[in-house]
Amino acid sequence: MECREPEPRHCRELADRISAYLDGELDAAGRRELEEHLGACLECACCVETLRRTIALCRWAAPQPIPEEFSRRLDALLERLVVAP
Amino acid sequence: MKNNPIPAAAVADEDTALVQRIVAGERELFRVLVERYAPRLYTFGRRMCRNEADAEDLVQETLFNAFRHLPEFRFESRFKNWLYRIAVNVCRKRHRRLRQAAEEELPLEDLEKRLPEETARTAAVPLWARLPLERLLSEELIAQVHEAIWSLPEKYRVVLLLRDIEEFSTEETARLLRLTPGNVKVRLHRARLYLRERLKGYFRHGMQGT
Repeated sequence: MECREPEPRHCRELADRISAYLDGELDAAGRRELEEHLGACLECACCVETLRRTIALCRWAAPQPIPEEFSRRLDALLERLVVAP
Repeated sequence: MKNNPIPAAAVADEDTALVQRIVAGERELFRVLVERYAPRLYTFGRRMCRNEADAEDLVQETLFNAFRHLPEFRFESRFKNWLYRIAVNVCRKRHRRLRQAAEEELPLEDLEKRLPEETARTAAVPLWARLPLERLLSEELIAQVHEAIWSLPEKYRVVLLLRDIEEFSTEETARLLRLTPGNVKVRLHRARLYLRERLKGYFRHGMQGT
């Protein structure tokens, strides 16, 4: 599968819309146009896939557990807040 | 808490009744909101501030301000959005002294121009993009992802965190940050491209010999 008609400018224009595509924010016509292009252009298809993976990685790598010591301090803060007149 | 008349909620969710009861005087119920949001705020803080102590301050200050100003919450947005608005403001106040760094632009225009020719050199979807994600996840990779996020200028980082990690919509993020939805989309796309470039190198290196 290769770019049938390599048109870097066209690729660039479509590349700007890849995030919107991944977020489901393109209208039907925009989505159709991009998907048709992706079916024909391996480079752009690759760009979509790697960007999709990057987003997934960010999401899955994000959670950071609260340290126990800080958790205790939060409890103390809460105690002061809810008890204070 | 003042016993002001509680406005009808324009946007109702699982927090609405809880917030109404807290404002009506059941202050101890604030504990439920803290349990619900402190872990997420802490994650947000760690990604925004990098430094552990700063992240802890961010959580404490956000929750303290939220509690203090809860009677002023008008239920015009979800409580979560209002809470993150406070968190973003706390962050901005802290970063103001580093404003110069925060205003730094990502050199992504060049990167975007390079994109088609760069990807043209790739014969196929790279190996790392075809492997099951679980195989790639490791402590080291997680650290690399965090490092890549921290290396984003603040104005891109906050958009990425709110959209891709906290999963606010484009419109919600725009309202939170007082940006246009168009601006949010542009910053998000640039942030993602930047991260992809940062992580691609790691993957290439990390997958050698596997």
